[in-house]
Amino acid sequence: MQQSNHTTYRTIITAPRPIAPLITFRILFGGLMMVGAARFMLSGWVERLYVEPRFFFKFYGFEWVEPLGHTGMYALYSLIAISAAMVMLGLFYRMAAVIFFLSFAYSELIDLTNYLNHYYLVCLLAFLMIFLPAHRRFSLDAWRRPGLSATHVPAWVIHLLMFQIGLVYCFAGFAKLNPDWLFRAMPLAVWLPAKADWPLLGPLFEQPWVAFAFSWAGAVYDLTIPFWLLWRPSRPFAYLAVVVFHLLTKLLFNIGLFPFIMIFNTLIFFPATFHERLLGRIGYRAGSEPVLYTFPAAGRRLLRPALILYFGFQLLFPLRYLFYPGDVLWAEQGYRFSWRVMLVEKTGQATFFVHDPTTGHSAEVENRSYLTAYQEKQMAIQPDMILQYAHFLEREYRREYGLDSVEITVDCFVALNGRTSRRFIDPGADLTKLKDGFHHKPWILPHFEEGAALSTGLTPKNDAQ
Amino acid sequence: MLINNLNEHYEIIKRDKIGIPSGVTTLGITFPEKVEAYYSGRSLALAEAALKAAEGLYLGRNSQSGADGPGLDDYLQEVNATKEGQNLSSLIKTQFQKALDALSLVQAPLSGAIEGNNERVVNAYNEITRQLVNIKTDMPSVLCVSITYVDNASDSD
Repeated sequence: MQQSNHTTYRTIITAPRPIAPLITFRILFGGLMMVGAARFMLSGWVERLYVEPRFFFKFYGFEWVEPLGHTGMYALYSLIAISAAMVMLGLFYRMAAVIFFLSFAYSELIDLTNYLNHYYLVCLLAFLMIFLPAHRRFSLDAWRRPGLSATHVPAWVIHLLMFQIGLVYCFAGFAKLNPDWLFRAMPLAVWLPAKADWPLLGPLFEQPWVAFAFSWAGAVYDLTIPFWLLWRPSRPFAYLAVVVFHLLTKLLFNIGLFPFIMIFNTLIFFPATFHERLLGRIGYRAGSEPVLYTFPAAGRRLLRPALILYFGFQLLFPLRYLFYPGDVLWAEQGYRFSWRVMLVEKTGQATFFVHDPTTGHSAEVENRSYLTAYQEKQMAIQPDMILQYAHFLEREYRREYGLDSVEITVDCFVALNGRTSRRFIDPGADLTKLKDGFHHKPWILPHFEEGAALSTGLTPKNDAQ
Repeated sequence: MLINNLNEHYEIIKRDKIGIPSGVTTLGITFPEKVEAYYSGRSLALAEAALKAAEGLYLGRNSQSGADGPGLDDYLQEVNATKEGQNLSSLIKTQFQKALDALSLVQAPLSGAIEGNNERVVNAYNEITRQLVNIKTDMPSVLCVSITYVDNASDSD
């Protein structure tokens, strides 16, 4: 027993494994991120997201992150693109990886409006890359200094990436196990018919059973794909499923580079021989004399606590929603950083009222004077953004009208997954008195009355007549 | 497209034709001179016509005969949408009527009403506003239409 535990530990953590999968990962990840940053600049999104807004929604705990202005933002994005290219080439790799992680994370922390799960995934992978010896072969660093070159790395280096990617899939699949997704095929039943003009497949998208088939297949795919990829006999079919699934989502939805991130990353599940053949086409040589890369002694001592800490966080943080009452898709308490992807079609409108208790005067706020259209749309469905915006309005009105005290309330209505709208925020709550944080926010009104958890807002026609 | 433009049009009535002049956005400081077509004194008639146009579009009203034809109300009837137990289709129809009634209580010219009896103007504004959630959030949601005149920058996930 003792012996077999020891062997398992060795296979997963310390056994030497060829470095090739890590090299493929480095090249594709760096290359894709370089393209991503360039795409951002070329499409004019730098201006639209970081220069045009007057007000930026902060991430809790990162209020000190500020936009850098027109030139500054382009400089930041150039830095992201250049450091990503250096990661790809393995040039001054450690420094490039640190710069890429910091600059990418900084740009994503500027405005909460732009939060996407796949940017979070990129941040995590970029963070892990800092510590991995991905430049120890087939890189400019190894060419400059042949002494750096290694042919094998400890197995945990490869398993770390597999585990991170598998975790994302499993959590995403787990999040799909909710009544709307499984029993109402929502939100796919809203999104798919919009693609009814497709050749061949178009007419199918209008069929309700297709939305159900996609929903259930998507949930099963996410929950089990890491295991199919791990098992050798099923691996080629599983990878085919990865490619088809992500290309389909790419064509159906506006999800940017995410499909490519996943199609490239899941290659890590393939054995080293596969990677050696693949990279061989561009001149990679596995090396005849095995050289094992060993981490510095200090790193080896820290490895176990660091891994436990990192993955402990990764496993527990997405589960924090369990501590909040109500529906996480509605109230969004514990929603972010939890791999809830493509789960909601949510629209809302929020009208803010500023009240001056000294004169008794009230005013309705014109959101468009302070927010971009995209910010307004995102703000109206996310309680912490509503609160942050109210606090900003408090400062603005104090300054603009020279008021001593201000009360701010909101009329906010949100419609979720094809239902009619419901009031989202307590209209009597003075938002200037409330604070953001991880505590439960009782001023977010519940989605359903007690006992009506599956009400849809749409009653079947026969019942009504 | 239709629903998007209806909403854009409706928000202009709410904000520009009534809201801004009556001071609802400015802590009670009114701007009677900011009404539409101030010097001609026709602002109220224009606002009413715009509201009627929105209602007509919703009901599918024939502009010559004035009879209701197939319109957005029939779509809502077809999917049998309800909001808080009420039929959404007729809820919107009733709200259009309430808004028009409230607006008819305002005496022309609008700028004069704002200076003299702004309460009625604000009341009309509130009735007009009450409709917005129905046509901008509920109707698109149950008809599976996405509001796109607020443009969609960037990706989603």
